Amino acid sequence: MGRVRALPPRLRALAAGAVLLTVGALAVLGATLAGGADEAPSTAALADHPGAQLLQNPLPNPEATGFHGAVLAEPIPRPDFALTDTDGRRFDFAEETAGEPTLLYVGYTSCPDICPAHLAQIAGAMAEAGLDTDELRVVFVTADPARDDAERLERYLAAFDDGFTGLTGSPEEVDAALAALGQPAAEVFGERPDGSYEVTHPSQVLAFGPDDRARLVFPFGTSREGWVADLPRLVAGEVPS
Amino acid sequence: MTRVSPWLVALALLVAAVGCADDDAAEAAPPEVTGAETPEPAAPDVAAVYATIGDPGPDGDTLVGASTDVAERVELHESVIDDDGSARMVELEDGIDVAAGEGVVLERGGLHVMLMGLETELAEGDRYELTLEFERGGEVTVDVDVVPTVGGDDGGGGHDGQDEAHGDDDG
Repeated sequence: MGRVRALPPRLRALAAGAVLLTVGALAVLGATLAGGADEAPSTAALADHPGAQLLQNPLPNPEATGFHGAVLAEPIPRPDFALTDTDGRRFDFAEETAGEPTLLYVGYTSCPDICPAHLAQIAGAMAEAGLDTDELRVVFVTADPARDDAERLERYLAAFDDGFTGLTGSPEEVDAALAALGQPAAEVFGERPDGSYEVTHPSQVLAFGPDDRARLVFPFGTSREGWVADLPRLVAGEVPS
Repeated sequence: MTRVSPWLVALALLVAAVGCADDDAAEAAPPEVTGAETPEPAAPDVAAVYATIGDPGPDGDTLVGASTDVAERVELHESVIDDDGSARMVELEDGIDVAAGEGVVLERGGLHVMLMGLETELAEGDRYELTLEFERGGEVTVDVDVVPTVGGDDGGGGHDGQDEAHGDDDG
C-alpha cells in the first residue's frame, strides 16, 4: 500500500476502497480518476458521486470482508449539507460531526415499519455493545419535512435514544442533503383521502468512521449480532480491507 | 293420493347434502394467529402489527382486512426494498395470501398490518384487540401485545428464517 499512500487524499481513499476489486477494475478506476480517461466507467459504482453505489443496494459479504455491513468499493466522503436540529439550531453535518464516528439514516416518522425497526436495531445494538451517542453519533434526517417538524422528530427519536440527532428543514434543503449523499430526492406516493401519504427513502444506514469516510453501509435486515460486532470496530477507526 | 318418486327423494337429499357442504366451507375456521405484537410506537399516530398466521388448511386463505378500536384506519401493507436500495411501502388491496399448508409471517421489514390515526396511546405492556378478516375462514379477534420499542433482534426477516423475531434478549 506504500504506493497508494503517496497519492493525494481523495485518490488514496478511493484506491484503498478499491482493494476488493480486481486489478482490472482498479486500472479502470485509476484511469477514470486520472481525469484524462475518455472511456466511460464500466459500472455505475464509478459514476460521478460515490453515493451512487447505494443505488446498487450493496449487500454484505461477511465471509470475504469480516464485516456484517456491506463494504463499499469506494468510500463516501462525509456529505456537506446543513439542516436544522430539534433544538432549532443550524446543523452543518460535515462540520458538526467531523472526526466523529457517525451513523446517518434518512427516513420519516410516519413510516411504521422499516424506519422504527432500523432505529430500534441501532439503539439496541449500541446498548449491547456498550456504546453511547458521545462515542457514536446517530443522525436521522427526515425525508418528510412537511410533517416532521422539530417537535415531532424529537419525540420520535427519544423513543429510541434521546441522544439521537434529528434533522429537518425545508423540502429544498432536504433534497439538497440527499443530493450531497448522491441520492435522488424523496418521492411522495400513496396519498390517502385523509391527506396522509408515504415517502420513499434510502433503506441503508451509512456508517462514517473517524476519518470522515463511509466505507460501510448497513442494509435493512442486518442482524443484531452483526451490528454489535461491527459498531465497536467502526468507532475504533478500523477500516475494512 | 300422492306418490313421490324415489329418484326425486334421492335428488332432494343430494341437493341438501351439497348445500350443507357449501355451508361448511364458508364456515371454515380461521387460521390460528399467534405472537401478535406491536412495538410501542415512536410516532404518535401510526403503528405496525406483526404476527404469525398458521396453516389455513388445504384450501389456503387470504387475509383481506383488519379492524381495531384503537385506530381510525387499518391497512395491510408490505415494505419493499427496490433494486436501487430505496424503501417504500405498498398497500396490499388484494389482501395477504395465507398459503395452504404453511401460513404466513407478518414481520419487520415485510408484511404487516398498519394502524393509522391511533385513537389510544399504546404503551409497552398494553394489550388491545385486533380483528382479522379472512376470505374463507371469516373473522378472528386476537389480543395484540404492545412490546418495547427497542426489543431483541429488530432486524426483521432478513436471513433469519420463518420464526417470529420475538424479543429473546433485552440486554
